[in-house]
Amino acid sequence: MNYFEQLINGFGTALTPSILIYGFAGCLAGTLVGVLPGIGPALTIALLLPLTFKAPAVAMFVLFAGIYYGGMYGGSTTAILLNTPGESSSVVTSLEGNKMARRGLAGQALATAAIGSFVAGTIGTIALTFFAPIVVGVALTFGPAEYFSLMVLAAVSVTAVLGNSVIRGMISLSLGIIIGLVGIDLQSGQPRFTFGGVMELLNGVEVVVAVVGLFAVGDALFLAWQGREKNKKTVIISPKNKWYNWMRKEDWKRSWKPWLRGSFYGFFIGALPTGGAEVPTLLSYYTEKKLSKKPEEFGKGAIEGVAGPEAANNAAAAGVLMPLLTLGIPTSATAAVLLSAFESYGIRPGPTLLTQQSNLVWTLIASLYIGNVILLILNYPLVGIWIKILKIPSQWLYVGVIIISSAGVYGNGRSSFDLALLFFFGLVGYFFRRFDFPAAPLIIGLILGPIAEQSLRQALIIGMGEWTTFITRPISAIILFIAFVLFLSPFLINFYSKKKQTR
Amino acid sequence: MNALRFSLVLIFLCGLAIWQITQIPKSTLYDAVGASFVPKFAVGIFILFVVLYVYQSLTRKLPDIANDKNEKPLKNPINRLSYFLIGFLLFVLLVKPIGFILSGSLCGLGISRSFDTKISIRSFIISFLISVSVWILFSIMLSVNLGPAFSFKI
Repeated sequence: MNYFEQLINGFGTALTPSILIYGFAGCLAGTLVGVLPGIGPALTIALLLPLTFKAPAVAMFVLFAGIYYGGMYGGSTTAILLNTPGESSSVVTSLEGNKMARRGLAGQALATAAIGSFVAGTIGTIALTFFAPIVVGVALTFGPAEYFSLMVLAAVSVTAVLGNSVIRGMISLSLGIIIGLVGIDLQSGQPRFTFGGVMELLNGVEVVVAVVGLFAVGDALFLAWQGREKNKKTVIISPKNKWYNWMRKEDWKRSWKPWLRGSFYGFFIGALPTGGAEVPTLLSYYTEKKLSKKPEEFGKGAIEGVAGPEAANNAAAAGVLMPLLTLGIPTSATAAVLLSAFESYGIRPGPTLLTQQSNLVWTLIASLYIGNVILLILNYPLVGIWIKILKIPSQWLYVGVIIISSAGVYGNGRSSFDLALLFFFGLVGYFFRRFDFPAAPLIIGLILGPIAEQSLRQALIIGMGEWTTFITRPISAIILFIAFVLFLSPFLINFYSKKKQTR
Repeated sequence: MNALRFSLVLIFLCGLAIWQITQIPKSTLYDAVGASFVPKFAVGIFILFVVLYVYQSLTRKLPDIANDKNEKPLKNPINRLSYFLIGFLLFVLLVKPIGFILSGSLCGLGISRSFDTKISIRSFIISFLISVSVWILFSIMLSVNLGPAFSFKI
């Protein structure tokens, strides 16, 4: 069966009423969390991870995909109306979007963001559909040595790119690897990091507990410590026109090119191991500023400055899924949480995913197409409701978040030890946020560390204990070289910028 | 707590990791690198970067939100943190003896207090309602076993 037929089958599964309900719920929940500042898709998926013990994989991944895309859509609503980006990738949207809203053009800004998100999400998903099998074709030739090198590349690229310091990123990553090694070693049966054989640690640390603790409990702890949520004063600007009158002919004319350019930036940069949505949104913004026929409008509310970055943001969401599904490499915090969701089902994302779990992958991709349509329909008329939801007092919002997190973790085996671990990871999350340590490398180390160890040991057994096996195999050598360059790049950039300043 | 004090916590973690490395038993099975190789490597990397972090914290000002003009906490941050932690700790300790709903309500009370809401009947009722909703959602609708809603095994 070729990939097109599999995609059609995927549509068949995704359009069954039970799966469609999960997709719709995901889009709704995603938009909601995208609207709420501080609660992003990573946290929401983390909160729902414990449900993976109960629901079928296809249904849960369709739900997660909806949350992921919905979060991207929802982030723009608050960025435009309240100048409060729900997501870091929506910061650029707020630059022009909120200015437009203040000029009485909230409807136009919301419409170009929503339609741009739809266009970019669809283009990104089409690109994912066509490029993913090509990447998989290459990756299928990989052996344990290449896998190990790939894990090194993933870890290094995420650590070097996320956060502001390689040192703090590496501390987070190595701590994650150490936590990932807790428990019985699969090959020798020896206990490691179990503090004298603590029974609960012999099976290792559940990724779900770490993810929920770091993102949900850690964030809530940090905000409680900061005590600033209640002081946020925001101006709510409601669009006055009816939603179907929001885009005028002139707006369509000024938006369609930025949508396409933004989609291009978003998908291809998002798909790189060093991807993410922040860089393409910024690039798109500056490109539109340069190419605009009305550059004087930038800074006062230019529609191109909303259309381009919002398209880039959504295309990047599809781009980020490519290395995740084809190589098992997460390049954003949300992708790291999605990877842990795969782990919960005992599924390992990577080249074999497309053949071993083809129904799951193609249903997921089909649900992205459907989700885009749902989100376009959902976002237009429901803006008023999202704004009302913003009025929920933060204290009750976080009480809900913590009780749901605890219920999710406690429900998996009713262990007080897991709750204590959740508490521990919450504290780690708080310290990480306070001292500017990125949390994603810890999760990536926790998940990829044990897999990388197994690949390393298998490769060494196959290579008769020769370490040169990693550099004598060309693909492995190239991947390791890229990882090395990426690791050094922040130091080199820092060195050259300092040198430039002293001149 | 500042970056330097936090680096002391990291040094303590390094000590714990080194101690645990020495506790890994040697395997008699053939393996190219053995069960302790990767843990030793990971701990080595951890120690190396912690040392660099400690050095940085001694020689320059490292990021700490507490010192950020726009982001620093309002007054009494330790009190707020304590209320949160006490609430969560109560949940961990009491969920088995008194059941999910009451322990969740006490936890909610602590967390809402940490967001500067006064402890009152009203805040207890809201926390109680949130706990009941979560219990119904998980236990009844999703069949996740959260144990009894109420229990009195103290």
